[in-house]
Amino acid sequence: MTKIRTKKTDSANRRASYFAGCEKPGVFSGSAKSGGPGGPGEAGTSIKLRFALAGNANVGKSVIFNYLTKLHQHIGNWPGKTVERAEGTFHFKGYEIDVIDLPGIYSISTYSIEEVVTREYIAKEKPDVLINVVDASVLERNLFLTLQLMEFEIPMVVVLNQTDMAEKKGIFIDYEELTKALGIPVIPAVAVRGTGIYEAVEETIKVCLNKTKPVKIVYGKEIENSIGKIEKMVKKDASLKGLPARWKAIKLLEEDAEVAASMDKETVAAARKISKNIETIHDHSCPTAMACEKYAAVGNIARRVQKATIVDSPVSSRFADLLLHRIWGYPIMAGIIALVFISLFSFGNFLSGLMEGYLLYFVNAFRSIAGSGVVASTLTGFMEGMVAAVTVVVPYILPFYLILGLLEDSGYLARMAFLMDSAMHKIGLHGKAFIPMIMGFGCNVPACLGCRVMETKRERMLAIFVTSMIPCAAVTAVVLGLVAKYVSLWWAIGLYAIDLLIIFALGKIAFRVLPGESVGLIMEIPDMRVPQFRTTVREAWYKMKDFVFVAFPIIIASAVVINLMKTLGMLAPLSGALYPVTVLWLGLPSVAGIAFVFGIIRKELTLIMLASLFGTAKLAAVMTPVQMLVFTLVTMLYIPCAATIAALVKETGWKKAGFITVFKIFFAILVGGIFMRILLIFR
Amino acid sequence: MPKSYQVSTKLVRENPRESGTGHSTESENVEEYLETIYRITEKGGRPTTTAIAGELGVSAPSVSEMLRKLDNKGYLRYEPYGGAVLTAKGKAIGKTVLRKHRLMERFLIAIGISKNKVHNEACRLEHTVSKDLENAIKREIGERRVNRKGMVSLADMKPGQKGEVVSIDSGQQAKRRLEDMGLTPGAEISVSRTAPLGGPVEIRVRGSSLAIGRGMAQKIYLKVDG
Repeated sequence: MTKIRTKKTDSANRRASYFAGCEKPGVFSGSAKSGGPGGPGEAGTSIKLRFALAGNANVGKSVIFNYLTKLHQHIGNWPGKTVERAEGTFHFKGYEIDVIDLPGIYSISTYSIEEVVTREYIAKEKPDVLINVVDASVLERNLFLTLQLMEFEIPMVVVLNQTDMAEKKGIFIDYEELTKALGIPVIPAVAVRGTGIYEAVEETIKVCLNKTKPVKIVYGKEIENSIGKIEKMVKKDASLKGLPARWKAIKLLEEDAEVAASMDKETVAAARKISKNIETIHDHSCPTAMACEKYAAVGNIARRVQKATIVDSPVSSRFADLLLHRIWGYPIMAGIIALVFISLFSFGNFLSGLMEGYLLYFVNAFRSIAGSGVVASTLTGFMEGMVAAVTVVVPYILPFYLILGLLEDSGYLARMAFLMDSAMHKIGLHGKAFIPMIMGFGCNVPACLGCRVMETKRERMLAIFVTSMIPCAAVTAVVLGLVAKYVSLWWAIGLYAIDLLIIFALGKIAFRVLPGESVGLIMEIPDMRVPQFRTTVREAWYKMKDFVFVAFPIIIASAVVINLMKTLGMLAPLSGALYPVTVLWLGLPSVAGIAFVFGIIRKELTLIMLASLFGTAKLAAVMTPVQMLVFTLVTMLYIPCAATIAALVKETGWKKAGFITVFKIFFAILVGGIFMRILLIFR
Repeated sequence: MPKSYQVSTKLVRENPRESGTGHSTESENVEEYLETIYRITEKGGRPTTTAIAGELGVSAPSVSEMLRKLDNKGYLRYEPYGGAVLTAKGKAIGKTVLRKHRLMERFLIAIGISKNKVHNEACRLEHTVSKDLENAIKREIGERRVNRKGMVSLADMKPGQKGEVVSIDSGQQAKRRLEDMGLTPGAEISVSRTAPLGGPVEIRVRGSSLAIGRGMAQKIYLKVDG
């Protein structure tokens, strides 16, 4: 025990001294020295508390989360849902504190999965305290969520973050006045510099122990009357236990489908009658009237506590304007994307080649020692799978996540979505889908996982379908290594064009076939800022872990299976079985079938296997240009690689993933055969 | 099958007087169902028998009977206990009728029919509006929006223009989202920029910058200052 305590005091001291260094004198006077709770040391065991971080997207929740938990965190998914769930633990003055980083949301309705998840978490798992992180420069919009969080009537604090940015924009907030207005502590902070976090934690613990609940925000008279009436009815209704009656009443007035579904029918009907009354008074639908009331309430608070002076737009904002320029925005974007990919590919190729050389040396050495029994080939398969997986992750995926993270944190990704919105609408998606599509050119796995930015299920599905067909880095390796090298660079570009055209057409068809309406773009455009390197590195690291969990098992498993097939002599019959397709329909050499099977592990293995099956790296001697083109096109289209299939299963379930996979195999064979015949005509 | 469908709706749509009353009631009923299913799907819900029954105010058994009929006619695929999925044919009709419904609602509001009566009136009218009448009404209330009431859609605003949100005409979900982001009636906004080629509009509202797709922007109506 003592040992743990010393550690805690140490870290507390370290933090205190850290703060002493960068605190502006005077600003936080009192709060750091107020002592806070003395710590529960007497009992000898640490008291456990649970904090939940909530707030809009892009307000610095994750920065605070990372700061608090350091490496003691894990990121998983909410049960049954593909929304990230980050949890961690830290020790502070003898308390053991679990923190959960809730997804960024704008409201507690049910528009997006993130909102549903947040709501369920607060209602069911009841954290001891909510830490609402608020962006000081967009106070009014942020307080809209604050108000809704307050309605859960659980202890709460507000961290007023990015006060430095706000002050640069000429926005000054009287946080003591805000504290009075909300009835809960408001702590100013600059999380990226660590300022204010120590005080925030102290205050949060105090709030936790005193169970300080936020004040009730009073709406207009007729709304309050209606809430009061419904509240009375709701109190008799036993459903949705654990949520405050006022909250349920407000949600009924907002015509929240989920709340209505879980309450008694009579209560809902009676509430509907009352809301009709509001509609006649306000001349808007009741949910709209409620949103107006809320914004009126937060508008009042914001006006009271905020002093805004107009400042000249700084150079950075003029630079941001250029990035969205009607004309210049596009070449700049193309330039940035090209730069990212060229540097990623050249770095990745260099590193992957280097690593593969060393790693395969070991594998081959092992093979020559172990011989070719069943056990030995299983082990070699395992090792080869590991090599395949590692040489993707380290040279390609990690740098890719890093650069994307930096672009995202700087605010540029949102701008790309803005610029590409109208183009993406051509295939029924909106601008946000452009980001996973771009990711797809690197690797389809993070791209599929990245489709989570899409709000509705239908759009996620569409986006995943399209991104899983984008030619990834491995496919590019085949195109460059086979077509560009032996046929011509123009044909390589041509194949890309054909592939993109096919993706476009299929996307359009899928858009028609999938039921549901296309939802347009509604997206906040964050200010451009210098990305936070530390946070980005950490995020990239966790995303990479996610990738490893999804991709590694299946890459390794398929490598083992294929190796076993080789040992058991099943490859020759297999290529025989594929003969009608590969040779008769596609006009390829019969070994191509085996190459395709290996390509399931990783697409560039098709090329590597081709060379090893022919026993020569000079493929021009054994294949005609037409064969090369057909082979490459089929490789581009025929199947998502094993890791992508795993990602598809994770995001869409077995059924849809299976459908996409089977569809693409047949589709690739069909297109490949037709392509071959067209080529032969024009030869 | 497709042929007979085309004939019947054509009669109802283009030339309501020529089709027999009994016939037209039946196709009206079909249209009403397809519209309802389309609307439920559009909102992101699942058109189950219960959901449809609730929307139309009829009993669940008669809904499932009708759904079976519609399935036979190729308007939708119906699985008992699963709900209905519109075919391309059914979807096209549902979409058209819903569009007419919304247009009629806007028209009725514009000519001063009280808000709570508008829905039922529109439900009756939507089946009999011909393409010509639809276009004429569109022109009429389109002009009203701009000239007489001084309202413009966000999509028609120029960078630098300021305005006050009056109403949002989109689906429930999108409307709720826009309201959550601060676009409530009465909110002041200014247009920062528009992307070329029908791209999104960037606006400032309540201190934040929002990008709104052009299609959505068309459904947001504002009173423009000055």
